[in-house]
Amino acid sequence: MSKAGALQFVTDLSLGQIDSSVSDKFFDDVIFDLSKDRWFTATLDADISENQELFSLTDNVIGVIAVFFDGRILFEASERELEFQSPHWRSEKGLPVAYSAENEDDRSFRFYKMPDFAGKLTILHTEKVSEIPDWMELPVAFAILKKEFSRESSHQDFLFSDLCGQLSELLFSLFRE
Amino acid sequence: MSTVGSLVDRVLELVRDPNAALNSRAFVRSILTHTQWAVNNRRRAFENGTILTTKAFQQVYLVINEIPLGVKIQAVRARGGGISVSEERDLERVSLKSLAHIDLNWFGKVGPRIEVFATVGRNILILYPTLDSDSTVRIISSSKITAFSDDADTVTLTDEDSLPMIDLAQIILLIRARVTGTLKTKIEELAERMRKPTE
Repeated sequence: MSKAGALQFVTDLSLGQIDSSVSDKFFDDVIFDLSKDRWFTATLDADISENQELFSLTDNVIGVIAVFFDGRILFEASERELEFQSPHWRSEKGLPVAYSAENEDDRSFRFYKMPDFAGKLTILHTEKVSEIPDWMELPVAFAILKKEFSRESSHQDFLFSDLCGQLSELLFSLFRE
Repeated sequence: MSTVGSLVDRVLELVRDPNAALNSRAFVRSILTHTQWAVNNRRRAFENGTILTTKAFQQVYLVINEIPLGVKIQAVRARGGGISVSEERDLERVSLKSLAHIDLNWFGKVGPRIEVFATVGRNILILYPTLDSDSTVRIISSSKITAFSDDADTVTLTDEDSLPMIDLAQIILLIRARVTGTLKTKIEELAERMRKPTE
């Protein structure tokens, strides 16, 4: 696992023409984008108590892929859909069948229906990571170089930036397919 | 089988740096190590088989720690249900979305044998249906071949598979040297070539 390896490639491939503090920030941005694209995924298990309305996601969760409650898939629903189902959906109790993240803070969602029994929640999610496997160092380095050389700076170079982006995509496609 | 040194020489010739004035041999070896991993993942020339012990009623597994040398799950095999008990059969790969088409209540479903698998990202493996007892499956993943550390090391990939490795390394070093002339086309051509199945 090596963030340091990716940043070393950034320095080597740019012939030292970069600002290391900016590269460090771009590393986080690239990893965030990769997580959203499901390169980094994990599961979250939690015990849910009777009458629990809301569930708060842990800090390492970027996006929810699927939610299961006691062996059943919960569907994501908008408030409008749930209001159409029942104007009193927030206070209805029973077997949860859906969840809604609308109008909650961005790290919480609400069950519909509110469980009238204790159960087990499993969430598949994209994950925020701070390290990467070593085979990912090179494509990540090129993704950072793409960002670094397209920003306004003394070394701005759009052609170099485009080529780095194109090569990063090619390398990731070889690992994905 | 080629030596790493001969590949390094070839790449340095292609980028007109035969005396390694701009690119050190160690740096080129490091680039070739990475291009080797990428090409091997695409070509599936070298794979690992890792046994995963499955637990009764558990359907979702985080497998990243099970395959530290693996890059991507390529296949999953299970015993039972074939001609003999010891015979392994390939499980069908489906997407997470397709599982719901197979069975709306797939999560937690127990059956006599595992039929299909799905992956979510690189880390999560889902088996359907789950079993009511512990068992095992074999995870086949493309292998992360040992990194090149010396010019005398032997290249594991065939000469044919070494060609895209060299082409990729050449492109990377030309980008580094800002010799950008025809690189866009070269990258597109290589991407197209890598999409084609090997004969």
